[in-house]
Amino acid sequence: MWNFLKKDLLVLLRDKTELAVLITMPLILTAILGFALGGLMSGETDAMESKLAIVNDDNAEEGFEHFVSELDEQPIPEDAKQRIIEGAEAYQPSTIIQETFKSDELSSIFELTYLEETQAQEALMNEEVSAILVLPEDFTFKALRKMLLNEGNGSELTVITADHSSVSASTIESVVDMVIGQMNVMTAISMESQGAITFSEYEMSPGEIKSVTDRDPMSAMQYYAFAMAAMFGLYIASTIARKSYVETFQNVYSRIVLAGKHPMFYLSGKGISTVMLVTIQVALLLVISIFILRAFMFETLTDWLGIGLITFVYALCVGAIGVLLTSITLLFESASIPELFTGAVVSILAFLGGSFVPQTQLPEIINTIGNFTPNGLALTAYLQWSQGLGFEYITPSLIKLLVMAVIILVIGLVLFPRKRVV
Amino acid sequence: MLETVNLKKVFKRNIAADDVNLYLDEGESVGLLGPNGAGKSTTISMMSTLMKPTTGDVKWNGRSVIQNPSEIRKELGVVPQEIALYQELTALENLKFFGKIYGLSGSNLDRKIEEVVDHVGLNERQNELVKNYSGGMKRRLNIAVALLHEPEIIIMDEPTVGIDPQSRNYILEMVRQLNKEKGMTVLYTSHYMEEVERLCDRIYIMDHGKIIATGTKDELTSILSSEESILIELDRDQPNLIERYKQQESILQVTETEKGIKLIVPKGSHQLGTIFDLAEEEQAQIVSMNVQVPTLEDVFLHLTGRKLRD
Repeated sequence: MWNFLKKDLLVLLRDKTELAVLITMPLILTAILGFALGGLMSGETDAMESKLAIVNDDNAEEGFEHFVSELDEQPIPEDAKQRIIEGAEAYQPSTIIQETFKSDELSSIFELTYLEETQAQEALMNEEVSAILVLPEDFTFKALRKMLLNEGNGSELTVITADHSSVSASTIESVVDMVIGQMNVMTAISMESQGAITFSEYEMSPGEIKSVTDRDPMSAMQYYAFAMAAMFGLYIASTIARKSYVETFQNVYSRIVLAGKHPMFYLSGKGISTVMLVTIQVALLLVISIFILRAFMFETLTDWLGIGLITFVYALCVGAIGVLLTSITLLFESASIPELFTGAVVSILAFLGGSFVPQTQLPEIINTIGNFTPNGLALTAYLQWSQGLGFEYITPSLIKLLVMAVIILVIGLVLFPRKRVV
Repeated sequence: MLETVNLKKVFKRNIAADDVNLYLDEGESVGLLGPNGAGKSTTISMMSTLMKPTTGDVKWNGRSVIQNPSEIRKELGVVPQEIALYQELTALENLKFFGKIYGLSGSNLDRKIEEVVDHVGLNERQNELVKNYSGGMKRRLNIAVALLHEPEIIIMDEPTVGIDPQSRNYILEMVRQLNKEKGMTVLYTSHYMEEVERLCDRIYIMDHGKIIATGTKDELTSILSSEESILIELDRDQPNLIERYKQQESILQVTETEKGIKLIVPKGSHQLGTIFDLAEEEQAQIVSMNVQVPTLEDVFLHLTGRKLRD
């Protein structure tokens, strides 16, 4: 088997075009996407300056009282009610949003002015402000009711922008999204812990992505290092299948059969080569991302072992895809299926699996589908592990990958045209 | 040693090989001659266990290879028409890969590689990538790989296609040595009549999937023993003259060649006078004239009505 692996490795290493696609391209994309989207993901907005008009139609005090009176009518224990009231008092949504823009980190970027809606519209038209943030009537009440009692539809914040200020407007939107996201996370934690963790124990740092563990927040570079590794691993499967077409076309495959090797030996050689090559490729990509792109760093041996395990399980799944594609290629004696996989399927899987845009920013339905793609599962496991979440968090993804590998492998073996020769 | 029994292969509606019966005795060099598409490659694919026949059988020392493919495989070397090598590997890496597949290893593998590399004359360039080789060198390496496991019989499918005359000569001499000096049984397919004439003890002529003639070169050319070929070289194209020759009952066959006309006439029929008279009437100038005994090419033309390279 080592003979096959060595051959496949040498053939691949000497094919500069393939190498460029499999190694250089993901590194370039990691660097480009990491630098380009770094600000968006980490809140590094120093270079931007915006004037923001806030139209506050909400009466926070009234909203809070309204919420307390509604809470009184709820059939929940008194001590829980008390904790919820304390939390709501400390972190009223409209206050959090306004305070976020007034914080040290953001006050140098955003200059706030409070205006009536008509004045704000006029200022936007005259390019005096970059955007308007509208806190609607009953915002506090509706937001608290949705967040803490899970009742009603919540309330919508409106960001009004003009064409002349697209960059600043997008920054405002991302800050608002981030604040709302954090509030939702805190609410979820509070609900899940049934009040054991309250808002007051969870310090927010505006302008940053907050990590739920003690690790550094994930940078765009780190995200895309994993995302590109997961995406480009898939290309190995189609590369191996395309090479098998060339081997058949040039009768090299016949030579192997004539040497007395069972065709299944050839197929398993392809599977093992794919597994090994994906492992080597992903390892190379991550090592270069760490030591050259400085995308992230692992501190303990356990960190490395976990990444190694995820990579190996993912490689097994891609190996099974390699077997399936090779079988189809030999069955139809055509390279069109692996070419289709390279040209279209990998891009679709990459999109669904979050290699282009983080899964959290995709619609729920795409997110759900993405969780059934091998690259999506691998990426989820990489992200969870690198954020310090334990083995119990990545196990479901790894099990799904293994089950997927077995199913794909069985289909590949069934389709393999072993009766082609005598 | 190796024989086919009513071998037939049908692809959808196309009969690629139709009741092919041929045999090879130990140490023989046998040619399978036919134009492109005659069914030669299909026949040898079935003989080498790479394709299942629709009906019929292939027997190796009396035993069916359909039932026992492994028995012949270890004694069989196949040189496919395609360059069945890894272009991105060096010659040495290719030989090591295929040698190991055949179960060779260690010093035995090294010795065999040295031997075949020496035989095909690639010692100096065995560490170069195959993709940088000339067509002739690739063909030689293609043969070397098939010789690694010291097969008893070697089947070569048009091993000289697309190479320069010098490389072709080298390969033909190599095949002759394998057969005459090492006693290897050879089945050589080609559409080059002169190669088969030079190398083979016996020849099968194949067309449209069928064996249409068989025998030694002398036996085959004796099919035309009562005839002779007259090659006429003309100063320019003479379509009218060709038509006039075709109208002559005493001229059996008229074929246009690259430089003139080839006529097949009954032996001793004294046609030269008529040939010159007609040329004069058509104001055609005969540059040269050559009277030949029939070749295998003529035999093929006689049997099929077309040239080998049509």
